[in-house]
Amino acid sequence: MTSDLIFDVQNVTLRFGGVTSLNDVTLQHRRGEILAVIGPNGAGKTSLFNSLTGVYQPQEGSITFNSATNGAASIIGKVPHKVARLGIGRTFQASRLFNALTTFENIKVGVESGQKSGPIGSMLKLPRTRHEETQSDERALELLEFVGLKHRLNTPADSLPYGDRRRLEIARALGTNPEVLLLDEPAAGTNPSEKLELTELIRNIAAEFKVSILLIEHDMRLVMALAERLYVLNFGSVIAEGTPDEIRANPRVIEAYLGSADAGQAKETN
Amino acid sequence: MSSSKTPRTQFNKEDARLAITCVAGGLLLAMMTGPAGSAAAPLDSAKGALFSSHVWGFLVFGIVIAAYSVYRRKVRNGEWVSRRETPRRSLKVMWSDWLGSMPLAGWIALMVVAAIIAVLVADYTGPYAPNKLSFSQFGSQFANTRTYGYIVFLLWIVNSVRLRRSASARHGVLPSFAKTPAFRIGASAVGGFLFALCADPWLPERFSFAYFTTSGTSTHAFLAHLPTWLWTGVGALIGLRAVLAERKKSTQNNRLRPRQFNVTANTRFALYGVGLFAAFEAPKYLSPFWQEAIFQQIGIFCFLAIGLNIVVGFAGLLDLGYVAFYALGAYVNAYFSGALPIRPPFTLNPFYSIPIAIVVCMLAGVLLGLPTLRLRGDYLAIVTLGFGEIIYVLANNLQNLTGGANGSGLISSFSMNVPGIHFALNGQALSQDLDFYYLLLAFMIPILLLFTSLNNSKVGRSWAAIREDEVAAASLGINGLKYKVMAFAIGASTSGVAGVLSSVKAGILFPSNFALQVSITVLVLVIFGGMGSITGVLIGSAVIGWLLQYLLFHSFIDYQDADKYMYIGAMLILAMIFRPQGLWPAKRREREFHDAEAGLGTADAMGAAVEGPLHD
Repeated sequence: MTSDLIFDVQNVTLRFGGVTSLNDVTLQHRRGEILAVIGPNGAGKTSLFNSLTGVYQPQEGSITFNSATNGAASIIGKVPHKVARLGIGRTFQASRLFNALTTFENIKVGVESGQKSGPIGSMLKLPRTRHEETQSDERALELLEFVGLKHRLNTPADSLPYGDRRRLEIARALGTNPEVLLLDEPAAGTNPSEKLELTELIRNIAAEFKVSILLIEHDMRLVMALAERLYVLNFGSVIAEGTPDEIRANPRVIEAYLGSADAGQAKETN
Repeated sequence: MSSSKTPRTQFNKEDARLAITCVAGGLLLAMMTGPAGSAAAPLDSAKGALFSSHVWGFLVFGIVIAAYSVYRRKVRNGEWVSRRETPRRSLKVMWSDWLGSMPLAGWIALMVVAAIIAVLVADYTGPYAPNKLSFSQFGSQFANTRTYGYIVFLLWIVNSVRLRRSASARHGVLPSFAKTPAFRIGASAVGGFLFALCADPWLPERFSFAYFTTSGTSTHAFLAHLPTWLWTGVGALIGLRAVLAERKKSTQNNRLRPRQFNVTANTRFALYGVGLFAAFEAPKYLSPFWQEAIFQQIGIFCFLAIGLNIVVGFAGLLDLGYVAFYALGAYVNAYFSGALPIRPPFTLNPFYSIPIAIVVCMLAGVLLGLPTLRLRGDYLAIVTLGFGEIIYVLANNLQNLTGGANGSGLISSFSMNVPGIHFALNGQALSQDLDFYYLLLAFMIPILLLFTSLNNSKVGRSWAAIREDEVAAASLGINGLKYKVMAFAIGASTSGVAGVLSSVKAGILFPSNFALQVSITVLVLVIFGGMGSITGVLIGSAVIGWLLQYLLFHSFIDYQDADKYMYIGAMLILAMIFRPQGLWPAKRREREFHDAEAGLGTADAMGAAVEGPLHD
């Protein structure tokens, strides 16, 4: 039963001084599933992400990550880079690329972080380092091709257009071979056609890389099209959970998030 | 057109403020560094300083900056615009355009120029140098095979650039046999052999790399001569490398790693060849002033700067206590020389204390780094500053350990006596300065190669990632602390090697050699030359090292050694105004710099605080 869940979040509470950012949040993410977390601004979505990736340390509750290869591990108390090593990849709300590095190098940083070669090997170009270098080159090229940025190989990240930056960030996270990919508002600031491409890309990632995807998104159309299940957060608490259709029909969600039923319809079809 | 309204010159407030600051700073610095005052008449020294030449120098300095600021604006459509706003074609693009569009006649002209330069160089550096301008000597210079050595060498370089250019522009320039790997490697090797053959028999003893041979030199037996085969080997390697690089490129259409300059393996190797050649040959002909500058100041500066460049340039950490590791290395060597009041169990030659110094400094770097590198930005700078001061104070006060302010005893010099190599150096003897230089070179070249490949590797990229965005780097599984400590340790051990070398050169250690100012000076070398660029920091070291030596040798009125910091400061101010990214910046660093200017990200791992803890 547990191995079926990739993330098992039980009664997590996160406080900053007197402010309760997450209140008794329980969330279960099934393996291979595209799960979305929605909620109004300030509902605690990004706090939840940061708790899942070790950036924030919740005061109460437990977060268990079930890796297919390495078994179960608790996230709480682990620093971000160790959490990442467990097999959790993420992107950020405002994209945080390494701007002075090229597209290719950005992905390579992700791919290489799991490799073993150290400074001595790198200085002397030992056989293993070279071998790993070739491997990461190939992997990075594959990923670039997958997200459709191969023609931008040597472009520095700071001169990429916005949509490409988003895709590069996803590819960079994929480079670490994650079992679960956390996407923090991947469609923020993209135009409608880019959104369409992005929906397609996320679907392809879930299918081809066999990763589970946890998504925060404001764009309801994208969420409803992608997610198999949704959690709705409001004021740090989970107020609803279910399939897109169930969420659409849930009166508490409509009240908290979508305003009225009419507005919800309007927003969804705009 | 409102040209009548626009002022012809626009010396705005900012410029004025800048100029005033410069001049005022100059006055202040001149007073602080001028003649020492006495308790009886404290103002005398200030008066003396005010009327010294430094003040006038700094007045000129301020005026020059103000003038440049005005010049920087130029008229466009009748309006004054800052030159920064107009798109500037980079020198790189211009150079490569110029090379690409050059017709054959241009190349021939270039080769003629190269030949003339070669003759002139040979003339000025040859055995008849004292009479270089007399026509008859010029003629006999041609009888000197060395001349042809230079000609062959320069033409070889020019031609390799040309061939590569024409190969990309017009295919089929080379006859088909010339394209075979065997021919190209062979031709390259013959080139190297010819060079050695032309150059070598005339060389004075020093040229024959006496370190490598057991019997010194046999002047005309160049076939039995190591350098001959060395240069032949270098030639063959260049050919081989070029062939391999081309083969690799044909299977791989995309260049995966962008370079600072878009030149091919041939050209790059030719350039390395020039560098190596210059490094080996040039110092022998320099005037005593330059020799002194290179051997004493620049050599050690280069060492320190490439070490600090790892910390500041690659990993983006501000380290103000760098001198501590330098001191540590020097004192390790002094200890094992038996030059300290505390006696070692056994004495070691500096050759063998180098590995010990590396290990000690690396450990010290790790020990200092582990707790402090969790700190960010200015805090880290302060803590490292404190560490530097601790080491300095310890060296000064631990009389029984270090000899205190009186200095250490005499430190032994390098010597090696193994079968095949008999090498002994008297570090303090001026006559052996050149030998010391070659020793520096022997340490420097491998370090440069190692660090270059380090920067182009996973480790270098991880450093860049941490420097730019530590949160994002952590989200990819990069352990920021580990890489920072790694940078710290590598930088520290380089500094330790520099400490051993300079302690041999100096002969005696005084704690005052390891004051805070040394850390600052090395930091200036790195910033001035271009953070993150190995070539850059070498250039920075050369320029600043030359300046300091120049000031010392050509001392004008009331120049004192302590005044040098004023000039270093001035160089730094100049750099910050005109070329804030450094003389020869690294490509990545330059981009970061522009990004930071545009408000995109921070250029250092020392940047603003980020959400949450990063280290456990």
